[in-house]
Amino acid sequence: MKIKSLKKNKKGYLEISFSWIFAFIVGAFILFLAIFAVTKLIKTESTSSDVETSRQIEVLLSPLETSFEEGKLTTLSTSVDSRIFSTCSASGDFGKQTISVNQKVYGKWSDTNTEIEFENKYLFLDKNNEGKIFYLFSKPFDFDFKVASLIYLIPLEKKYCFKGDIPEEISEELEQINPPNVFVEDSDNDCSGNEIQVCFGNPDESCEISVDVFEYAVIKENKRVYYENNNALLYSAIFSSPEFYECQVKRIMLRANSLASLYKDKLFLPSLINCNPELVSELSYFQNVLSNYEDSNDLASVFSSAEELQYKNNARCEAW
Amino acid sequence: MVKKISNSRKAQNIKSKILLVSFFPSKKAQMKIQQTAIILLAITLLFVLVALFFLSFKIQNLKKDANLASEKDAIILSSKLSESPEFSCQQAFGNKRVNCIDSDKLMALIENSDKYSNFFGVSNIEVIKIQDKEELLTKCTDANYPNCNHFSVFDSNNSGFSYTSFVSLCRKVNYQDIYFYDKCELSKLIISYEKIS
Repeated sequence: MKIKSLKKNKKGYLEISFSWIFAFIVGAFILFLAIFAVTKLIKTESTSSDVETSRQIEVLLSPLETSFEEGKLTTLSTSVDSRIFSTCSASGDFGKQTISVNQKVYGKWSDTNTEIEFENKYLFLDKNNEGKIFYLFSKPFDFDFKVASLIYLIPLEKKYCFKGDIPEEISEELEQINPPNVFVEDSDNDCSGNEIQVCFGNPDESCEISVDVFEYAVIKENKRVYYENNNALLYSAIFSSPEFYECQVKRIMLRANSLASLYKDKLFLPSLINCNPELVSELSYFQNVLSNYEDSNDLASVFSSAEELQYKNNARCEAW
Repeated sequence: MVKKISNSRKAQNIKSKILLVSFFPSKKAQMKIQQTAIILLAITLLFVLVALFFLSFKIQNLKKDANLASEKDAIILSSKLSESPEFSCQQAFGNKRVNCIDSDKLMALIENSDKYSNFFGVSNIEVIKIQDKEELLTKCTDANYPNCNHFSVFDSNNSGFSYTSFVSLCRKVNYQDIYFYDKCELSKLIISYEKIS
């Protein structure tokens, strides 16, 4: 019946009634609104999925942060291709780390800027972390007292080859943790050459990362960072970018400083007043060294100061 | 000349007929417009209502997921927090002990609770000594420690959910300034999270 109003009249022009024009305009408006809402909804959905994955990663890090799961390999799988990003800030009492995840939806990467932040975890990862499967393992970092667990994240698609004069301790440890994408080259096993080459001792041209075991230094992206006689820091330097490593180590020093302050306050409790007075002054000195920490160049002085703590803590009343 | 004028008039007439889409309709037409408008309005409202319902459902789901993640974190933390360097006994009481909280360190932590307010990502951490007799909870402060039974790291109301695990709470006791001995008591570690509502 309504088609009647759209019919051509005898003179050959369209006769469109107002109700039709009104219906077209409102219909177009409703359609526009619906498309707009659906687009927004898809974006919100992908953002919420990204944030959910980030939060899941954070929850997964909790058992790794405490000492229970140290030296064990944990797998993180996502249903779609994901990119994991992280930022580090060393300001404040503990500094903070953020993680965010972008996922591939309908062949397009989401651009979620929502980040999950935490102060008590130390996740070391490289700049580009893409894939569906990620491996995580952790190592404790301590001076004489435990400071933190350092967690390493390596995507399955990123393969590493450790070669050269690898300290036995490291090759044994890697064999025990056994990440499927970290290979140790020895007389029995050869790397394929497609991996990121981590060279111990004399580096050659193929080495993207070289480790100077005598100077406790790791050279990556033409930058030199230092670790101390602690494999936890060595892995951190290998599996993350130099800038990120420096920032995270600074955060660890901030936490160590706060822990030293806790131990000092503990020794000031009336019930412990004569417990270990010598340790109090040593802790103050240690805190002073930690406060002056700038970058990994200062690690040697921090560790030598921590050694003194070890002797002072071995009194009749141990603080840790 | 007359023909030309009549032609141009005809053309104008056609033009105006094309453009003129009944801006002054009849009563019947007005009714039709009102009908269409009401139907369209009803459809729009229906769409909006459906969208609102869908959105609220989605938000509810999001909140549920967020709470679930927090709950998961609380369960993990309640069993693992005692191993965190800020709480753990380490080797202060002989060999390394599992699920052991250093009560003296906990007191130091309570004194510095402002600094740690965002550190653990929880709304409160409490440790309550389990005693033979039922006793009133006495909050531990500098003044009454160690003669107290309730350690609360952050002073917040537990409006959300909490998870409990059992730990041993150890401290050094000064015996007449002659020596220090270790005293450990069974306690409950309670981790509280705020619920997203």
